[in-house]
Amino acid sequence: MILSPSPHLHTSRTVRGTMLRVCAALLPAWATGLWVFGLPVLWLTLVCILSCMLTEWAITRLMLRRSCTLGDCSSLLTGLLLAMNLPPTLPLWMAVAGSVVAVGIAKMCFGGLGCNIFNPALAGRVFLLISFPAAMTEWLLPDGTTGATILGQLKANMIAPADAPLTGLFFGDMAGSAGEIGSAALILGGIYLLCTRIIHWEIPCAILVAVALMDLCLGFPPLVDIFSGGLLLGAIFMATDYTTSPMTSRGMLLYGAAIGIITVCIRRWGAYPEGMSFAILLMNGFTPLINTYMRPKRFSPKPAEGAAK
Amino acid sequence: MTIFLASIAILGLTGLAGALLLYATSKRFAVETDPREEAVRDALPGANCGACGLKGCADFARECVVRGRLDGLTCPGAGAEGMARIASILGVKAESRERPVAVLRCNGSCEARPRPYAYDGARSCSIMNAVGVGTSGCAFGCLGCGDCVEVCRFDALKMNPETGLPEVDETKCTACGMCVAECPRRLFELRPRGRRDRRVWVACSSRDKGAVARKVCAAACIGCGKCFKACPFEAITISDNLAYINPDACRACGKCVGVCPTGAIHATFTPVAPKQDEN
Amino acid sequence: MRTKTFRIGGIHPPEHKDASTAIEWLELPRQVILPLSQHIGAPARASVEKGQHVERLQQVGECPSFVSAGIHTPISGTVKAIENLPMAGGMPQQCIVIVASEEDHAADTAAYENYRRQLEEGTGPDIATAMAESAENIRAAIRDAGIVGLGGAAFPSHVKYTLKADQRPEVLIINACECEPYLRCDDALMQAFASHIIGGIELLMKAIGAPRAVIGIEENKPESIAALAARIPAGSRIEIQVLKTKYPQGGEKQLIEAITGRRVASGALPISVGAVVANVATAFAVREACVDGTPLTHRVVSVTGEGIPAEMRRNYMVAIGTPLGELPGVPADGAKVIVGGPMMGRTAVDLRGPVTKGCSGLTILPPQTRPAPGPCIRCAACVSACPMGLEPYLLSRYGMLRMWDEARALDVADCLECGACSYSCPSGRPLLDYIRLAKQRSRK
Repeated sequence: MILSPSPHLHTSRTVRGTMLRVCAALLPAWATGLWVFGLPVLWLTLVCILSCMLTEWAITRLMLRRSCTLGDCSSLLTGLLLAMNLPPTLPLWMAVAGSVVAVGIAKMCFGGLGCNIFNPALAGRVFLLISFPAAMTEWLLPDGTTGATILGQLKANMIAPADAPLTGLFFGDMAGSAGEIGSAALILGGIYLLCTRIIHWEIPCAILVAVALMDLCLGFPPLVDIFSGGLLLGAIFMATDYTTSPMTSRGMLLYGAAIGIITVCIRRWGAYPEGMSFAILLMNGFTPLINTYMRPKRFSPKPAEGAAK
Repeated sequence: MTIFLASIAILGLTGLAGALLLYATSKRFAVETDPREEAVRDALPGANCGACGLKGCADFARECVVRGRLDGLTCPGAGAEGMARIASILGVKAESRERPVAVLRCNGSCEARPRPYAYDGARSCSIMNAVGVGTSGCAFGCLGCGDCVEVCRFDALKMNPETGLPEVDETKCTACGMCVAECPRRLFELRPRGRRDRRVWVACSSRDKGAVARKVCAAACIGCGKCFKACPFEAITISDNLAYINPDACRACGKCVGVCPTGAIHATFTPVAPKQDEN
Repeated sequence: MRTKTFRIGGIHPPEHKDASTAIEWLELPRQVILPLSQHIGAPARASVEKGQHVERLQQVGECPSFVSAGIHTPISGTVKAIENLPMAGGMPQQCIVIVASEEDHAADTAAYENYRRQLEEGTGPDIATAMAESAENIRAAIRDAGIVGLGGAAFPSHVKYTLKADQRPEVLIINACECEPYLRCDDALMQAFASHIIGGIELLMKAIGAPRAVIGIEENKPESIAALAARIPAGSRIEIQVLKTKYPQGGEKQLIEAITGRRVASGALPISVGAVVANVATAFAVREACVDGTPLTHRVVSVTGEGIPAEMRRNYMVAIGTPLGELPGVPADGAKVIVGGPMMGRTAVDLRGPVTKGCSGLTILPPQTRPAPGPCIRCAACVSACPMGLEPYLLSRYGMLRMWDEARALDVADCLECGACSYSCPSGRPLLDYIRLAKQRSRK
């Protein structure tokens, strides 16, 4: 006979399943990148995933001597996300360095899955962006030449915001990283994640609404901002990372709105053409504070005498 | 070269200014403390176990100094020597009291007490106790998850994997009473150490009827009364099918240990084997 | 009519309501074990002695104080012993053991058959006489029948329905949600004895002085809804409110919010918002007590779950005090036997333990082990699932670290132990185990 505390039923959802579903939701966007930029995307992805997983394995098995945690597939997702955030032509050794920083420092140094403060893939990307600015801002164009992204061109006043090719942005006909160019595919993945209730609607919606409102106030076409750079990738896949985002509905709305506002600020007035990574990492740092002050709304009102005290 | 000197000068001056500011604030906002308070705190073990009844060691130290006396204030962790030191700091006389030791009133090792039920849940005695009887059939015995080991701040308890029971290291036990309060089945008792560390206790808490208790545990006290009859000092009482040895009356002669049919009475020494008497 | 529901949290576990809804009447047992404490409050005091002969339906345990409930025997026989015996969870409790002789058993069986026929054909005494009694007399009849809340909490009913002079009930809510997966005992009872239940509700309304009654029932029980709707007389102040199928719809505070829109404060009773809640099986027992004079000696028990074959998943009318192992289909070993539903039920390890008043069913599951817990990934599934708006991930961590004060500050006392958090955790963490510990230890 078995003695056991209730409940005796458990959801069929698992951490591994969730991670794999997010990977699946990323596949259309990844495939868009592969189709537009060709094989370099494949090599980059393989290198990132393998080095992320190897880093985690080495740290858990060789340094900590604990059981292997690769089964939760979180480092697989980190590797995939990192690859989708990097320029396809990036030297592969840099990708390895980024992966080691992403998993080794941003995740395992803080205690592994669930304990990290900053999104590992973004931490890896920002590490590379600061260490190797030239390589990280040289983008492959769909026609095989290299150049600046739409946001880079906007920043350098090479084109006017009104002239940005919206259809091209939507279907991936632009320079950029493998993951960020396929807006249509990213939205598809986002709808899948929302329908399967893997991500909460609050964060992506708050980001998009905040970006759109900021842009309208500044007289900038919102759709250009939303479909360019890593905004959709960040809003749907990076900002919604469980560990580094707030736990309550109200907290998520605040977090998302702040990311949107910071992103637009960086894009309009900052030195970088792209601001999503920094905005998300900044708000990652605020997440514990948001969790402390934005408690969920309790069911029960407090009894009167408690309030009188 | 000038740039070096300039930066050294600027940084040095900033550092100096900061240091002065810190010094000024620490002087200005210093909290007056009795130096004896710190001395008392240093004499305490610093485990913050709460066995004194106060919130922690700092609280205890403050209370000692505020009262200026030690009546009613005892730190079990500091022990007799520690309390003597604290007393000398305060300039009072320490009352010397013997420090007791925790004993486990369960004897149901894996061998004596089979574990027919599986437990599937968070590993904690309190949680298991709230769910039911535990993995053995005994409703009174040790649950074996080691909550006591977890709360012991003095490293005096260890789980013995062979018996499945915790063991008290009497050299480390300070009788702080954390295990006594934590055990959901109240299996620990603080007993006097006894003369020359000789002590005898009933290592069972089962109030089941003899036959029932025996069925779930071969080492259970069955309340048969043999120890009661054997005790020359009337130190043993039996109620609810369970024997209890009054530590104040017990002279640790060890006669009861030998007559116990289930071996439920434990002693810290090897008792003299009883003579083979009439029955 | 619009289906209503509570607003915060909740989960949708697989329903598994696949047991048949017919009620089978089990033969009276030859021996019953009647625990003296089957309810919240003071245990009953044995009013019989060892060796004494007792008649069927006789009171054998009396209330020592107001918050207690009497115990009655479902069989005639001799008191064999009054001693500590293990309950289903293995912990011993003071019990009265009654053994029937052959003659006792034959006479009882005839009387029991007669009672059953009356119930099924509806030929028993009429409700009019009982309805003519005063509220006080109805409450006395409820007390004398030893009735307790049959939804699982087992709080003595006469205590719950004795209101203070300044407490004005606005609505009597009948809990017919049966939101636990698997269980179908209330569903079966409603389909079989809808008119008796309506009668019980009318008696309860009179007993507490409620101007109207609302039956809250989840939409996954259309047959019961139809059966009840057909039996509500025209012009009655009883109405049916269909609710969404969502766990824990039958939680008292959740149910009151779903039906009245009002929220009961922490630590307050439903009457503070003008509501009194009764389980549907309690209403049935009240009618039997007041009209027929039958004390609470039987109840419907579901025996269901994946651990037994589909054709064995049934509902039984069982004498209270029958050992669990004697119910048909209960395996002797090799399965997880849960007294109650899978979300809040307690596991049974000793099948000699009896069916008690609060036992709504046995859910028998394969001996599945719970998922091995992984690290918390802070996915907020537990926060979204908690129907009380708590933060289970934090409370459980506080419980694990023995930080009782911090847990109390985050309202751990509000936890209703529904298990939605542990259910929804993708990492398989035993959230509720530690929250329950924190709740228990932070109580001061």
